[in-house]
Amino acid sequence: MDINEKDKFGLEKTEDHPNYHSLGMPADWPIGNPSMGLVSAPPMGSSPCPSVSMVESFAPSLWIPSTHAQNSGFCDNNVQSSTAASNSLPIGKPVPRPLRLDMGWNPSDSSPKGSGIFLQTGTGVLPPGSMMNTFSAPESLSPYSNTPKGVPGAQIQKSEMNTTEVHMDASLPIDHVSSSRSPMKEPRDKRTSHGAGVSSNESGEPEFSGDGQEEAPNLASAAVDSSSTGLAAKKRKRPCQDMESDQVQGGGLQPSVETAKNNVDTKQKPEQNSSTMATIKSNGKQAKDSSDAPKEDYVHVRARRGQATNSHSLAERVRREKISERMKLLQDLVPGCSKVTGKAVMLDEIINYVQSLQRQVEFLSMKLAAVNPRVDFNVEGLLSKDLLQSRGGPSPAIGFSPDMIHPQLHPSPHGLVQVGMSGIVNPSDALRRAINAQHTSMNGYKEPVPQIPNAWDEELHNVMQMNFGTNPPLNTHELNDKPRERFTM
Amino acid sequence: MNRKNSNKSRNPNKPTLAFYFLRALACINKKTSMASYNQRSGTIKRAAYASMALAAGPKRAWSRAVLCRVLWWGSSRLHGFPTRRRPRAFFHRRVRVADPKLREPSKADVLRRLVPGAKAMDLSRLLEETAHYIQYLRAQVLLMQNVVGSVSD
Repeated sequence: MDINEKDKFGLEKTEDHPNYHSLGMPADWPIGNPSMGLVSAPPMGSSPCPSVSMVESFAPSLWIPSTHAQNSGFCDNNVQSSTAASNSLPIGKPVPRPLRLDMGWNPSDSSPKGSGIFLQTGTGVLPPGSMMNTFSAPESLSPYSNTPKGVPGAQIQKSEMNTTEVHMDASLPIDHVSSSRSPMKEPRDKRTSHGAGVSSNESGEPEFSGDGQEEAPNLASAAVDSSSTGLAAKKRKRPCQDMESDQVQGGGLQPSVETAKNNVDTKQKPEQNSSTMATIKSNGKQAKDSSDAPKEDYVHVRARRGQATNSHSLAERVRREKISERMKLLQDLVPGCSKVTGKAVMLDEIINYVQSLQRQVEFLSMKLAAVNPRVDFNVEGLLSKDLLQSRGGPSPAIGFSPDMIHPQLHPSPHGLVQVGMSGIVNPSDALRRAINAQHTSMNGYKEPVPQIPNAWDEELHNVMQMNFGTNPPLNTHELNDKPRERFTM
Repeated sequence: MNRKNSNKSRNPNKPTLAFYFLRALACINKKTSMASYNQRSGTIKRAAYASMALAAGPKRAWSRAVLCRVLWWGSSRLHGFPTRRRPRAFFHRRVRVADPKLREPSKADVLRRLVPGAKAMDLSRLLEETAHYIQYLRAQVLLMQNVVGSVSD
């Protein structure tokens, strides 16, 4: 059996890519070679993509370290579908990898369903869980055929499992192992029993020691259960397995005895089922979504994995992203909002800030009004001083002065205003002279300010005239009394 | 390109702002020295907003709305012309969009009331206008503080 398994392992490797070996064993897997074999094994061949894609979906989290090479070669179809889904994985891990391992197992038959399941798990479950997903899927298959390559120990056990779905199993366990490995690796530095894990999935054989066994029993039992129940069971299993694997990971090595009894232990089944029940629903939904995820509408919005792909939802998502992007801009503008998260609080801050700024303008205008009569006419000095101090230069002002004069000649809608306009020319001339005197050097420099359309300038003058040239009866009381909720002038 | 343009338009041209405002101040000083204090403060306030809007340019909705409002104020107050419909009506191109995403839609409404000319905008546009408006408001406030500081010295 070992030999057979090894052979298969080698076959698989060749199928996939030579990269497998290098990739198969990610650096983070200090596991022994056998596990590597498992990893590479998955490429059963170009197994149906759907299942693979599913694997990919959750694989990404699993395969952070390695899968690149594997993914690339292995199942193009699957990769496409899965990568699409996984590309936008919010997990933040490189997409491409995922598939490799999973692909191995999705061999034809239950791949579509399996993929759905996987997707569920992949999307819904994060890396720790993802591992389980892959495991769960293969588990169902694993009982069928074990010969999977890779894990030497597992091989033996696998052979026990069932040969009905040899190809599937072979790939599955490997996938499981590989997928489970990556996430599991993190919690545990060394996973010597890759195969163990895999094999456990299939048969839960006690041969494996260490982590693999822990998972294996769960997986195996789950697999057994699932196989019996079919795809539906797979779904359940996967989450169960995820949970179990999580537990396993955290728990540490379990005695191999457990694995032995897990194989056919149906006790876990209820446990798993119950535990996974909760996750099933969410997974199921996610699976569907993820499978539909890689769709694009004509605005080139790609649905992320695990998200609905309805055109409405896509548009809504685009809108939401736009809004969040603007909120981020505003966050930078409004002081003291860097830590604030959430639209409501952020909006509150923005509203407060705008109100405070408007109040400040009003207050300063009152101050200026009080100060103005005293100043009498230091404005020119102010202008030059201000411009020199706080601004870059008065060049725009200079550019403006000539423009200021021009619109004055234009007919204004208000005949009266024109009269006032002429009156305003003097002060502007005075200002202009002051400015020019100060910044003769800038004369040649024309700012884009003069580009303002004449209508705008005209409006400006009108405004100035109407509001400042004459004494409008101001409803100051109205201005002062109104609550600051409204912007009033 | 769009980014650059937005950046340029985002950073208020301070010299322009200063120029407009100071010129307005000069006008006010000359013309309304006899006006009451309250009147003058209101005028100065409107001058501040007008100069702010002028410096912002006609590309922003809020600057257009501000100027329209100022013009409307002037036309209605000064010359007794028949007051046209409030300029804001021009901007009611469509029904205000209620944003169901916000937990309290009233917040967006409050913001719409605060920012001039932002009544008929969806949330994303509203936020953009608000950002621009805040930039110019801040520049205006700084300018006025400078002026007050230099005048009072």
